[in-house]
Amino acid sequence: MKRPSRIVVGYDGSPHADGALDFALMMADSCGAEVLVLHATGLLERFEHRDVTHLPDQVAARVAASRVPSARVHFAFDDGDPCTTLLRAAELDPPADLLVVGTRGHATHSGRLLGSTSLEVAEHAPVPVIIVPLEEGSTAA
Amino acid sequence: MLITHEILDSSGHEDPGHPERPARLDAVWAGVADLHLDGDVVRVPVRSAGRAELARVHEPVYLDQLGAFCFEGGGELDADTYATYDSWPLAQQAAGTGLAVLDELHRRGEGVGFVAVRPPGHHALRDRAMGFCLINNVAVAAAALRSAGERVAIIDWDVHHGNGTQAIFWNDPDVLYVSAHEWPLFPGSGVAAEVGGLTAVDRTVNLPLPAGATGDVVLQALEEVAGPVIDDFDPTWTLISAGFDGHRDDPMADFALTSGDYARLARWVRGFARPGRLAVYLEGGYDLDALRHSVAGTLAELLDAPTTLEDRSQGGPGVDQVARIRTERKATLQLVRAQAFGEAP
Repeated sequence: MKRPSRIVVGYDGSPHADGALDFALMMADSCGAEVLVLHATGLLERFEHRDVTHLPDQVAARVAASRVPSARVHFAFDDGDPCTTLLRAAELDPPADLLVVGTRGHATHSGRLLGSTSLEVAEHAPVPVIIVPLEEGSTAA
Repeated sequence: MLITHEILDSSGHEDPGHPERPARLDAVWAGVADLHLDGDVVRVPVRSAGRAELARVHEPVYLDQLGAFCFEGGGELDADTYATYDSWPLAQQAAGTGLAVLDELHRRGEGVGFVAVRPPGHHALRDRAMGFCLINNVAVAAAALRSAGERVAIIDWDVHHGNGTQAIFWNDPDVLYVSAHEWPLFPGSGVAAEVGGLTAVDRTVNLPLPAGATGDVVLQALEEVAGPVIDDFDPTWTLISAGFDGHRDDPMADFALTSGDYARLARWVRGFARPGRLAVYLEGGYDLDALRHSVAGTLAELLDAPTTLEDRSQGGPGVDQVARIRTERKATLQLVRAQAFGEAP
């Protein structure tokens, strides 16, 4: 298996997503990979005209404060279900060769039983998937 | 004759502020009342779907877990989708009532079926709730018909792609899934190159159209791209996955359809559906006035009932996209057939 050159991270701004981003940055640093941070725009976000324009800045600030502030990080919004958009990202040109997701996002349900995004991605992705648990001491949404 | 059902009290499935709310059904039934059908309506009792009926399209373990989740009080299933204590029995009733309407249609051999239930269904996957949907009602209905040896066409005109329905029947050669939807938009699936699995090549027809698409463009896509596939498939039953969130007033998306457009889409379906073998299943639609008028427009066309409609929309973007869809489908079908059957591309 080759070293990852393009890592895609699912990101909704939650502490779980921040943990996934941190892990992706660490992987990127060790592999020399670039990172695409992907936010899926869902039904309610659109309906409520929820302001998510701060997310790229939130990511940029987190990257700047990380151990790899010079990492090549891009941010993108994509309409869709988080799982669908991540799987599609794996087939982009250039394709992702590693997907990183948190154990869950903003939803209160643990997702352990009812088919969480992370498990769904892991089941269907054509590339390796890393599911990052919330680090001890972090605050869940 | 409208073959429908007693009004489902869905008040137990509600999350304050959520657009998928009980008042939607009030709007739907107001639209039916606007048609003054009087004695030309048959209402069958609401009934719950049995486990075996649901398990034709959902994983048993998912059904168990969804039921248990609701029994424990419910909550958020994902960023868009909720469930309450009452959601599980209501979802069973929604799917079961869809089957009861089919049974009555079959028994009578005439009329048009109409299933106005919630939660909606077309995003629900075999093993996952999604996009406000818990149980895939139209899929449960299609699977029941399929098990009786029928060939079923599902025409999905909700503004969002019905990813759940597509996935459930992806490899089934006896179910044709046709979707006209806005793209890009949630759930992110439904591109033209999705044409069905290797055992059901050309049994999925996706018509992804741009924001602002008007009724003439949506109809053109259906007629020119899906029409020949439907003719070839020759369905014995036709189910409409009828979302009305493509209406120009709906807050969820940006199609520009009117109640007059939904009437002409219904007329197109009526052109190939067999008499007494057509049923309409409610999916989305979140502006209550638009929902009311769009339901009335659809059923008025199917039942030859007089009503007042908004003008049809026309001239929107997407005509070029129809040509691209046709080209992309053709190329994909050649490629898939070459891979699957060794046909020369």
